[in-house]
Amino acid sequence: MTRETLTRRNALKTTAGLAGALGLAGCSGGSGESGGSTSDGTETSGGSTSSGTDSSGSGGSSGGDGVRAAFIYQAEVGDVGWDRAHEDARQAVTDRFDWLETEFSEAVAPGDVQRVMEQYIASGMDVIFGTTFGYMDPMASMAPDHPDTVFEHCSGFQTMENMGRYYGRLYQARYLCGVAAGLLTETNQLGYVAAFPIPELVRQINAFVQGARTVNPDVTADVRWTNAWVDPPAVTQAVNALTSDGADVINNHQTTTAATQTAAENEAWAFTYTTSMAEAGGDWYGSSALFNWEEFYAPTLQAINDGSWSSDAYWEGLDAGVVGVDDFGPQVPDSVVSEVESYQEELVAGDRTVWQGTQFEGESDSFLFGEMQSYVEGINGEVPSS
Amino acid sequence: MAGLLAGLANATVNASTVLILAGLGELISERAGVLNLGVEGIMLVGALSGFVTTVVTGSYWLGLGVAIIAGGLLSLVHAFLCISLNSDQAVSGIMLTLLGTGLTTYFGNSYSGNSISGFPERTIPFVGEVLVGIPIVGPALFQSTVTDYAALLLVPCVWLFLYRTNLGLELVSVGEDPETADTMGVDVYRMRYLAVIVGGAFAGAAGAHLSLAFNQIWSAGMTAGRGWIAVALVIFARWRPERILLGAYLFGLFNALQLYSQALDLTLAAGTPFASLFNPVIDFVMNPTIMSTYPYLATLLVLVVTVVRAENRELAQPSALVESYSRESD
Repeated sequence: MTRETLTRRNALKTTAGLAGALGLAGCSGGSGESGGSTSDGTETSGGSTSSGTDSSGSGGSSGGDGVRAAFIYQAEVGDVGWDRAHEDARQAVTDRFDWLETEFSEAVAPGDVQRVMEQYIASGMDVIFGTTFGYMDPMASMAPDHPDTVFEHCSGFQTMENMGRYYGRLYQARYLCGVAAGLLTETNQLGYVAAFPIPELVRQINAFVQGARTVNPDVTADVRWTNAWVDPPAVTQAVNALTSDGADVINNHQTTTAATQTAAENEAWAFTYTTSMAEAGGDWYGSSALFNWEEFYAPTLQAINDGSWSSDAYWEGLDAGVVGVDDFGPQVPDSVVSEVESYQEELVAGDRTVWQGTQFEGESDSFLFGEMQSYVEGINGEVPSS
Repeated sequence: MAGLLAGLANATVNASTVLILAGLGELISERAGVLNLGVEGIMLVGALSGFVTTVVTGSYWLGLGVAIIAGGLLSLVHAFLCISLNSDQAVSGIMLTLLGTGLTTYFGNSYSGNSISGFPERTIPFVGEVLVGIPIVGPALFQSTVTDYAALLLVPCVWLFLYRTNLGLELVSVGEDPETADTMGVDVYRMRYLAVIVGGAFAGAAGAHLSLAFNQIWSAGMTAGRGWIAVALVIFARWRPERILLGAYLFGLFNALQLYSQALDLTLAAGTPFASLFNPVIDFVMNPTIMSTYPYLATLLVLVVTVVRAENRELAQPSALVESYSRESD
C-alpha cells in the first residue's frame, strides 16, 4: 500500500494539490491534467486528498454527529408542482430530525449541477438528492470520485455503490383517481392532457383509465399531447377540445394549474397530480395523485445517520405512503370516496393490482418503469412515437 | 362535424390574440428599423407584472395597464442600447428574452398557483346575441374578452397609422432609409425610440392577455415560445399589418389542429390500397411534435416564395432593418 501507491498517481496528486494551493495565491494554472478530479481552483487541494480512489481516510465528516443533506431542484420552487412536493418533504424532515441539517438549490440546469454538487461536497455534505431526470448522468459520473458521499437520484434508472435511485408508484394513485372518475362521469368519456409520450406518462394515463374501467367498463378516454411540460395556453385549449368532445372528467400531466382551472370552468371534474390544486378546481375539484416524498426521505436519512444506508432502487407506492390521493373536492359524493378507499385498501393489501386484466398483467418492474409504450383498452388512438 | 369546426374556430381565435398583439408590436418596431428579439421576455414580464398587480389590487384593468407600461419600460432598455449606443440588435434582444425569463421565474415564484378573476368573456352590446348566433365562427369571434376584441381592432388601427398618418409614414421612412428621412427633417432617434417602446407595450399587453384573460394564472415560462412565433409571424406577414391578422389565424389554426386532430384517426383502413405506403407518412405528418413545427415551416415557405418571386420591394423587409443609424456630422 505504502510504496506502490506512492509512485506516479500520488505524485501527480500532490502536484495537483500544490498547483491548487498555488492557484489560491493567484496563478490558477493547469491542474486539470491530473486524471480524475478536474475540479480546478480553490478547493482542489482539499478535494483531491479526500477523493483519492482508495484512500482509507474515512474518518472525515459524520460519525454520529448528524447528517448534512443537500437537495437540488431543476426549477424554482413554486407553490404547486414537482419541486414543491420535494421542498415540502425537505422542510418536513428538517423539522423532524434535530440531527439533520439541509440546504437546497433551485433552478439548477442539468449542465450546471456538477458544479453545484462539487460545492456541496466540498462543504461537507453527506448526501445529495438530485430531483430531476437530467441529473442522473452528472451524478453517476461524480459518484465514483466521491465514495464518502451518498448520491440519491430521483426518477432515473442508474445505481452505483454510493448512488441510489428513488421514485414513487404514482400510477397507483392515478388508478384510484381513475376509480373516482369512473364513478363520477356521466358521459363515460374521460380526457387526459399529457406532456410528452414517454413511458412514465403512458403508465399514469393507463392506470387512470384502467381505474375508471374497473368500476365502469363503458368508459373511454382521449389523450391530448401538448409537447411541453409547462404551456398553460396549450393546456387550456386541449381541455377545451376534450370537453367539447364530451369529456366530463379531465386529468392532467403538466406542472400548471391551467388544466384544473379550465376543466372547472367547463364544469368538468378536474384531477391532477404531484401537489394539491384544490383551489384552482373549486367545486369541480376531483382530487390529485400526490407524492409524499417525506416517506422516502425520512427513512433514507435515518439510515445514513445510522450508517446502515446501502444503495438500492426505491420504487414504492401506496403501501409505503410515498404516494397517495389528496382529499377529494367538496362536491365529490361520500359514496365515491368510500369506494376509492376500499380500492386503496385492496391495493395496499395486495389483493388487487393496477394492471390486472390488462396486457401488462405480470410484467416486470423494469418493463413498467421504462418500456410501457402502448395504451390499455378504452383509450382512443395510439401512443405517438416520441 | 359542425361541433368540431366550431371548436376549431374557437381554438384558432383564442390562440391568435396573443400572436396578433405581439406580432403587431414587433411589426411596428421592425418597420422603424429595429429588430426586437426580446418579445418572449417582454411578454413574460407583462404577464407577471399584470398578474401580480391584479392579485394585489384586484383590478385587472390596472393589471393590463401595468403590463403595458412594464413592456414599454423593458423595451426602453433595448431602445437605449440599440438606438443610442448602436449595440447589436440581435444580442440586445436575446439578452432581454433571457433577462425577462430569469427575472419572472424568480419573482413569480410565489405567485404560481394563485388564482384571480381576470377579464370575463363578454358579448358586444345590443348586437351581441345576433352575432354569437352565427354558426361555427359566431361564439369564437363575438363571445370573447376585451383583449380579444382590442387585438382585432388594433389591426386596422395600425394599418391606418402606418399608411394614412404623417407620423406613421415617417416611422416607415425611418425603417427604409434613415439618412433621407433625417435630411427631410424626421427625427430618426425619436421615431425609433417611439416605435420600440410602443412595440414593447404591445408585447406587454400580449403577456397580460395570457395571464389575465386567457389563463388567469401565472406560471413560469407560460408564453412557451409564443414570442418567437410572433417574430416569425412578422416575417411571414412580410411586414404588413393586415397579413399579421391572416398569419396569426393561420398559426393559431396550426396550434388548434395539433390538439384537435389528435382525436381523429386519419390513417387509411387496413384493406385500402397503398395503406401500408401512406399510413407511415400520415402518422408522421400528424404527429403532434411534427405539427408544432408547422408555423415555422410556413414561415420558411413564405421566405422562399418571396425571394423566388422577388416581389415589389415595398412588400418586403424594411431596408434599414437591423442597421443602426448615426449622423456622420455627430
